[in-house]
Amino acid sequence: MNLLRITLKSARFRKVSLLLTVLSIAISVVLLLGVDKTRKEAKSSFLNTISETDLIVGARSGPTNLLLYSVFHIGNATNNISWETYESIAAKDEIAWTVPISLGDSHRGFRVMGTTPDYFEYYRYRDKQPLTFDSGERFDDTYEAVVGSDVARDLSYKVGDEIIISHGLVSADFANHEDKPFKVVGILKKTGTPVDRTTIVSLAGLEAIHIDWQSGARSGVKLDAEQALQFDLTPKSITAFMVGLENKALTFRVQRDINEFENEPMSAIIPGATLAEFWRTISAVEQILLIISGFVLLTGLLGMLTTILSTLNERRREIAVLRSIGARAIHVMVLIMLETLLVVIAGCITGVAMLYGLLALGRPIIARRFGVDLGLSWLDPTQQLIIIAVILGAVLVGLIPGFIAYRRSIQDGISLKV
Amino acid sequence: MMTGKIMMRLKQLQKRPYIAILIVLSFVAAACSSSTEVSANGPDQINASPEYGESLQDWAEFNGDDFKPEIPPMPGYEPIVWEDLVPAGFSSDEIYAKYADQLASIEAGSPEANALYEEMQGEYDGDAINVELDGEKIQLAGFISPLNYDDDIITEFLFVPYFGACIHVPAPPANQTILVTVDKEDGFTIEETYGSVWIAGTISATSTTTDLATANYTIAGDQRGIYEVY
Amino acid sequence: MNSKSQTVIKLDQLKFRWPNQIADTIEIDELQLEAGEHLFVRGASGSGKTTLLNLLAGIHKPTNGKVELLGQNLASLSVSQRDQFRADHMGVVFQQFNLLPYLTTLENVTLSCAFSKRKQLRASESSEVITTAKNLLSGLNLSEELHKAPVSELSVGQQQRVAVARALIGRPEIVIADEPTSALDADNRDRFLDLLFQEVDAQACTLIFVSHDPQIAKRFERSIELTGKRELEGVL
Repeated sequence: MNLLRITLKSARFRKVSLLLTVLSIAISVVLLLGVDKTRKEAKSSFLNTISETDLIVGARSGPTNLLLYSVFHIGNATNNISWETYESIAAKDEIAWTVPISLGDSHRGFRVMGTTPDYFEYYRYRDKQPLTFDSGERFDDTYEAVVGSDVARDLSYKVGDEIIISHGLVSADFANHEDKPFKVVGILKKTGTPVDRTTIVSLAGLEAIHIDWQSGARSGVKLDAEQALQFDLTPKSITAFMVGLENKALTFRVQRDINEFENEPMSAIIPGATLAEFWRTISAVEQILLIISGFVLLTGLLGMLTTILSTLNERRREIAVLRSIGARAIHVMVLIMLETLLVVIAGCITGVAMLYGLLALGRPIIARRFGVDLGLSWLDPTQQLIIIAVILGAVLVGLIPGFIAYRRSIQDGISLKV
Repeated sequence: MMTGKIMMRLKQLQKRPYIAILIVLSFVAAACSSSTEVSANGPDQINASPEYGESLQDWAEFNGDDFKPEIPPMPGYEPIVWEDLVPAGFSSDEIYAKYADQLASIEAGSPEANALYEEMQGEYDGDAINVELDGEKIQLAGFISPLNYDDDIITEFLFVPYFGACIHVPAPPANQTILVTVDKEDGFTIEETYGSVWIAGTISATSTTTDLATANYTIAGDQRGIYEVY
Repeated sequence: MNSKSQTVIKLDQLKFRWPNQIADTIEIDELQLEAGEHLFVRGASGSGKTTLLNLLAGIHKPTNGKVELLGQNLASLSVSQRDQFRADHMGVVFQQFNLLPYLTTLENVTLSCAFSKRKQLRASESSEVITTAKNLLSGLNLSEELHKAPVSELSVGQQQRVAVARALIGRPEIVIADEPTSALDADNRDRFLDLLFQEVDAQACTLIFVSHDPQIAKRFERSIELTGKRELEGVL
């Protein structure tokens, strides 16, 4: 029977109030680590959404707005770019490649993007990784589609399935383009970017769907899939286009030229820089969250202090008995502090477990709503430091009741003053 | 007894936690506002963040005479300035000198003046490249426009002489824009790019080998840091 | 076994006064106890019984005179040394709440040995500590099935006897009992005293028994009475 075993048995005897304390520490830990982790994962995922694209061009708009709708598929463009303008920009000597994209449609809750097969060639993410296929290949034909991994998983698609695209972002029946089904020819591997939640078709395919729509409403003439193919399916306008330059040193010059293009108002953004700018705005919120978490930890520690102080009263008889059989004042202090240590360690372990549980649960929901993938990596050095700080904080706080118990046990003597 | 006093104070706190929280909150708010200032400037900058279009020199001057940021000297690496990237004969000073007399004789803001400026701009060839720098190990300070991220670290960026080369100022020409790549361990965080930084590495000065001959400076970075008072 | 002729407790000109008190709480000119002797300490509450016990246990230092246990002057020991001395050479039984509610009977008894190596050694001389504990409990009429039970299941009388076992394990030279029978009814009290004396004598401990009950005094050959002012010594 040593001090540790006495602490454990004594604690088990008073488990209800101690468990509540453990829980309050756990919650503080969840908040502190959760905020830090989410912030870092979100930042990483966010910044890694697109790579190796020198410029993104859309109709004149704020840079953040353009970034969000073109890359994250959040929000909408207010205007489009004419096909002529796109072609004349794309013809510039400084530009090595372009990938036009068209947004606005949806498929059963997932966004639809029209683009050229070059998209699969040039879109990179997470430190220059290209898109890869889980099954199938890129589209070739007008009525072929490639879907992202989440689309395939949630809607149980396989290569060869036929799907229907809806107009606008609401899958209401009246808006179905029923007569023109598309065939799934490729399913992409998971990227952790909004691409996972996108259905990708050719620009011609999108044109074919809309061929009998005028200004958003069905016109009197209905054309079926075959008939549509007879028309010229070059789009009249696109939502935005990605640009790769011959020489990255020309980035600013080309960006300036596009922004000042006389025939049509456009905005060109440098994705890397706009991502950074956007994150900078958010960072103030990060700081506030961290401060609030700090306060929650403080509350948790104060709660622990209150509980341990009250246990001193509960344990008066116990301490007197221990003193009478030979425990010294320092033993009493160690007993109190051991319990504090046990409580805080249990709280930290519970907190970390709760954190990962919550992360695992919340991950798909956040990916759905914000296009951000929270990884489940282990605690990084800063977060490990947070845990150590919590434990140290609790031990320091535990010195107060420990010391009180020490003094009391010297004064009380061996008789029980109940 | 000391413990008695501690007990008493704790009991008071328990009774009026709101006061304690208010006091701490106000301290924190004060600290927070000043810290956001600091972080907006980058971790170690001591003064206002650079204005859009501010060059390194402007910004250093703005911060006063005592503020003379330096790059820590490194053996084997030669510190250069942005003008060094422009070969002889093409620097803005030289061009200006050529036109100095003409400029003196016409009215500022007049159509002739504008035409003259256009001509001067034409002379200034942003693609003229200083090939003597090719392969040299250099150090240079400037501002970052991020290109590529590895997790949240910037591993590839465009390096320019003035801040926020976006909208309000002329775009830096190709020979004042350097494509820099660094390893992840040497990479920058976003916060570090809110002010000026320095890099040290091997610069290569080439022209691109397409129809368009343009200046193409790249640096493979070995070392880096925040450009501050050293 | 303790040597029968050794002076175990010696009090000499012992005076104790609480700070801010004008009169002494304890004033004992001389008291000497040999090994195996039983002392009855009588006094109404407030008469200073607790103070005397605390002096004997080394909790308080006397304002005058000295307390000598087993030849050791307690005043010359530091606080922690006195604590250790008490742990090694004494066993204590209180009126109630002697035991730790979260330990079993056996665990409560062997707990003394956790804080005193000396007791640990002496308890394991002829057999394991657990066995010694069991034997003590059996000697106190506490049967086998109670040994592993949590102490909350025992009656008050049983708990008091467990306390005696815990006080005696490791053969301390001195046993202090502070009103151990006050919570028991008359029958239990007598039986308790029988068993207490039986075990104490088996180990030749010196027993100091504090009580206000004059009935018990008859069973002791030595007694002192504390009046809060002076003691009256009597030999029965």
